[in-house]
Amino acid sequence: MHEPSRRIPYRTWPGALGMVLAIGGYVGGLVLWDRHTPGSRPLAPGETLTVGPARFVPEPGWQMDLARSKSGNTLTLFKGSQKFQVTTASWEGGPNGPMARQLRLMERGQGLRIEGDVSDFINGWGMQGVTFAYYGPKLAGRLWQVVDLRRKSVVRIDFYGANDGLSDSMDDARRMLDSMDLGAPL
Amino acid sequence: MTPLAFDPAQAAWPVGTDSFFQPRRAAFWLLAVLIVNGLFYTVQVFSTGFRVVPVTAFLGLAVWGLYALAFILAFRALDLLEQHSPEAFLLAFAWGGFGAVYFAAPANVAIQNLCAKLVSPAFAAVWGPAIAGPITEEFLKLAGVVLLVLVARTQFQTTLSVLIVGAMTGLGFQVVENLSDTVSASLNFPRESQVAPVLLNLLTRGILSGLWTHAAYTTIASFGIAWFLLHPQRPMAVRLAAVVGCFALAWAMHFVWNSPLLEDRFGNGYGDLAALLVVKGIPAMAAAWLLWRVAARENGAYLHGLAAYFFPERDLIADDEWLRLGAPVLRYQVRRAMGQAFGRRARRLKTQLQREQLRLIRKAATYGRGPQTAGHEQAVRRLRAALDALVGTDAMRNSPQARQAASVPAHRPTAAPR
Repeated sequence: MHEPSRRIPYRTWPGALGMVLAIGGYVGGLVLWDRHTPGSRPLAPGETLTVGPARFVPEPGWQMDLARSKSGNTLTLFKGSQKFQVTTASWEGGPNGPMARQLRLMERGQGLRIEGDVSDFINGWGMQGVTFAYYGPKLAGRLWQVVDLRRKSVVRIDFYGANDGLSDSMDDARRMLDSMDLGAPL
Repeated sequence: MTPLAFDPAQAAWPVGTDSFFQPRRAAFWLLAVLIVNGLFYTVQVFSTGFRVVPVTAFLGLAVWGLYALAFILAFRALDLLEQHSPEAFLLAFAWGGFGAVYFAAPANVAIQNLCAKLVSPAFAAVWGPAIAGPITEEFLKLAGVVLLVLVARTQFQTTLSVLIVGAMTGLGFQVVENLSDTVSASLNFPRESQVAPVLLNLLTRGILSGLWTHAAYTTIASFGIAWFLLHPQRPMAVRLAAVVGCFALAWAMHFVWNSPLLEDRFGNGYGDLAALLVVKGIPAMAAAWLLWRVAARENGAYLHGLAAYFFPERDLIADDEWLRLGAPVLRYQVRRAMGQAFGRRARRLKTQLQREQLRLIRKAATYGRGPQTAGHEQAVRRLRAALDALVGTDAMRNSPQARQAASVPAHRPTAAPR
């Protein structure tokens, strides 16, 4: 004889509570562990850092942010609340494509505003590109971008941080940018 | 007809199964709140994509929407959607796409950050996805399956009924993750095109990887939940071992998929990439296929027993139809052969007839045979009459495809009074 299923009442709150604790404990625990784990690496004075084709010398007092640095394509340095991030990527399109996309991302995606015009820059090693300053409700910064059509790559240098104290670190950022070239062996 | 309805008066509790709308159960509200929360998060994330790369976002939404639809149609073609009401699949898909994705994002970031901090950024770049993705995503997707089982436990009477919910949860996760990755790829694509990233992602994530990623992993992990649920007579340690074992298998498949293992044995071309994806994916696909097969056989035995008990009349379920109750692929082949021999209307009628028979059996399994199944019985007879009128006995006899498809000799037990 086939036994029918019966709608026997049962409680689900212990199981639901268990799931809340399991999910909350897992996700919350990992986030807390991450937050409480130091993620900086001191840099030796004069040490040359390399990310993709870009290499530069960091200024004293800056440290590497390990969590925001991805081997080979992103390197993030920090000093206090200021960050200096170098990102490289491959680029096979025209010279203006990366900048148009970056402006779209910052203005439409991140709600930042561009201050003044986009202008050209060139550093002591002949690395040239475009740059602009930007600001938002909580942070401000300056971005430099270099498109190397010959090596089919784009290098983005983003210096940003809390509005307070940004100008103090700007000189450091400019010196690091001045020390940069795109001659690192790939 | 022998009345086989269950007598509600004799039972302490009402006969039937719970629906998936259970506003008096905590698990239902937890599931609903987390899905809605995840929905807001996902919409917020995608709104950025729509503003920055609108062509990619709209095209991606259309492409991945059609991709999900193709999977759902495949599930439907195999009659897997007959296992539950649509709200079960909706909740499962939504949990995978919104609830699980919401929690997976910060957990994956935290693990990858920890890999970078505790080992090195280079290690995190190479092994981070393999360490973070499998444990986090398999756990979170499976949490949705557990919550759905908690919401309506009585709906899950076969392994297949759990597996299809797991597959749908995995599909939801897969589709939203693919959409998210498509938008991210567009933001970093090495050319101006907003269309190429969609097509490239469809090729790599959809076509070359689609069959053996999240839907397959969650199917594997869900098998353990099904075993735990449907074997209450076994010792708790054994049932828990089944859950842990299946989860570990799904995790291992996912780990290998995300890891750089075997990558050095293949080149950088698209052909090499395709070969690598296939080599890495085949074990997961094979494991999922094996578990589907086990579940389909069990489901077949369940349906055979019920049909033999409740519906001995051949005009309701013919012998060859009875034989194919547990064989969705064979049922599909019969429909196709019917369509080839007699046209689309015959195929549609055969499909409707097969599904109505499944509904009839499931209804009888839940409530017994009686007035509650009369509507389905009438529908089966009506569909059969329409099909016979269209096909005709002579035509059936003269059509090799139809003969091959429709007439399988069967020995059918009659477990019930005729």
